[in-house]
Amino acid sequence: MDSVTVAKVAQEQFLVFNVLEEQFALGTDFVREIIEYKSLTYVPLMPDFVLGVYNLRGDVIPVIDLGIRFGKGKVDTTSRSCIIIIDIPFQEGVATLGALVDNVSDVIEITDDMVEPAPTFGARLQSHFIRGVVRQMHDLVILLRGENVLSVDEMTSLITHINR
Amino acid sequence: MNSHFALQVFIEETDELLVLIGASLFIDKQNETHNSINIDDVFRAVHTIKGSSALFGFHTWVDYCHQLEEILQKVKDDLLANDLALFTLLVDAHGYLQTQLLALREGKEPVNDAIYKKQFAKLTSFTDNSAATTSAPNSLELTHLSYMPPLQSERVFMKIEARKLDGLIALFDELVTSTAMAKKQLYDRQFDVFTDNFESLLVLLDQMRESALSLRMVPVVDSFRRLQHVVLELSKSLGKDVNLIIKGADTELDKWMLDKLADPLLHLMRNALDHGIEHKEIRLKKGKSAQGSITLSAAYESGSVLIRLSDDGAGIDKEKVLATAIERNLIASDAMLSEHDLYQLLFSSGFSTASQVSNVSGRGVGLDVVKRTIDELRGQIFITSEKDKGCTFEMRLPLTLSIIDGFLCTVLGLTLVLPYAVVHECLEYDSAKLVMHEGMLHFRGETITLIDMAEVLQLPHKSAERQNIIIIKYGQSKVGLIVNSLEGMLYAVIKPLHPLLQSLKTISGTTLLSDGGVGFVLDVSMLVTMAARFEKAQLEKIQQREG
Repeated sequence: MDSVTVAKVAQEQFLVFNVLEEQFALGTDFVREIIEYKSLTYVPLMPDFVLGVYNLRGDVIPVIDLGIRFGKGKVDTTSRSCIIIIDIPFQEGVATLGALVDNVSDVIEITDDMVEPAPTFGARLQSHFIRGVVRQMHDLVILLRGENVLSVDEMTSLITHINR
Repeated sequence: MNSHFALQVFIEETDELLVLIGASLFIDKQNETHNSINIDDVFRAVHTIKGSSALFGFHTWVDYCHQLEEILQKVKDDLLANDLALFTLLVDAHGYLQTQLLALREGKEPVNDAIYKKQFAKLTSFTDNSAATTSAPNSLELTHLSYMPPLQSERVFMKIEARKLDGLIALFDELVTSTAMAKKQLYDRQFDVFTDNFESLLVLLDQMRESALSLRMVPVVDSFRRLQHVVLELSKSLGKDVNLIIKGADTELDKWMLDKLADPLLHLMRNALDHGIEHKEIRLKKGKSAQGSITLSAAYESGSVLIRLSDDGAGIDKEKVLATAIERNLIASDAMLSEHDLYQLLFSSGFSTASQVSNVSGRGVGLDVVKRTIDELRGQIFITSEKDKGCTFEMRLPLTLSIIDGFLCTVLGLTLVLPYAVVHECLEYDSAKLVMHEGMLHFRGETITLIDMAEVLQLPHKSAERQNIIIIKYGQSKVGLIVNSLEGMLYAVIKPLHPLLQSLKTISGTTLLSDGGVGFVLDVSMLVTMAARFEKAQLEKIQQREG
């Protein structure tokens, strides 16, 4: 992975959401649906970014706190909090996850020329999570590499390590 | 038509047809004869394979099957005898087709090669001289001895008993009628009648659920039959006389689980034939019958299925196992091991490496893989053996991983589910009334290890809530689980764990609760193993103190 990246993004749709006052966007290809924050069932023996599981019409889906996952802190659950249901490629199939965010705003259309290289965010966000940055109005929106930031492989190995 | 999909269907169908043919080629060891082959069955199967092969342009298969058909037709017309020569030929043909199918699964399409020409020649020469040209079975060129477990294809096929499907459809029809009645009753404001009707609707739904889920359950018979074939061929090639006895072939198991068991059973069967059963001379010298026997059985036992593979062969040489284990640094040289623990060592990967091991323990090959599969199926495997008498492998498995009669309990707000079948007794956790000491409960003359579920699951805070002990019985073991409240029964459909949750110890699945929440299904086999480990550690502590 190159470190100075202007992500090659053709005309794509991204969902913009807020996590602890920072704006992020994820390709809509990964997004299945968005639901209101509902109460979750706590799962034992999990790291703190796994908040619990949710019953989505019969499917048991783990929900992770993106704030903790991004190393920023816990996401407060207010009336505007949402869970984005995401389908991530995993092994030979797809794994479904829920991501808790502060709120969801827009779906934006992005083209190559709109994307600027990702500045270094210091230790907070690893650059392999980030495709690049886009300016929306006065804000900077960070485009995420869905497969990495929510990599089930990575999280699973983290969790297995804890449970050894 | 998606040709890849079509090919997959062809492969699965041909596999089933070959099983059918194989089942007809059964040797009746008791009466020292081969059964008179049901020519019609074999003919039909071969004919179907021929037809399907034509669709894919597999000309060699078409021609081969056509030759077979010709031979079988002649037998039907009494122009050829349904005798040992025919039997031998068909066993060979069956073996050849199986190898071909194997190759096809690996993506190699049939070709007109030297092997094919040779096989084809065998068929043509058979029809040419109908006299007994084939020699005794021993000289049969045994083609690749293989049992192919179903391929991991994108779509999984299942054979379902028509009766079960019909049953489900009948229930559905009843549901439609009752619902229509209910609608009318509601419309006519006949609330009393409606309420009664609704109650019976709920019962109906339960029956439907049970019926639908039972579609996945299949009898072990097909799987066991394939092993019959393995015994036949392998014993011949090893020059041993072995009789396979099958018991409980009607026992049903979840199809997925049965498929997974295929490999382990094959390994165990091969080991029994290779290292277990001795040669005739040795057996006679030991005063045993010349013919060895292997028994393969399946039976239900309170919520589990017990599959046993036992032979009356040489048994396991304990001294050799101990020596190898010490040599490979699996145990300390002065370690004191129970017989059970000693045999469990055979499952560690330290044992099944080199082929030399097979001489030493007699059971070295592939056992670690067997254990891994049994673990994956949330089961247990035990070995019992007596030198020169024989050896038994016993596998205890949950009936299905997909549905159970669940018993609910809570631990600090978390809902846990146990299979009702393992729940033996429930007690109130009253330290005044119960005799408990160092994590063990002394109850009705037994010492039962206690597991504090809150501790195992590392749940955040201690609660002042009332506690209960659920005593579970799994095989010979009893374990007491300390939980909070007991919540009653639930007919639980278990979902396999999400990949993120796979590493959770002691939890084997999730299920939906009636309030929409999620319950965690406990891995009973894992809990029992934990308890055993704890018990051992306790015993060692005591020994140290006294020693």
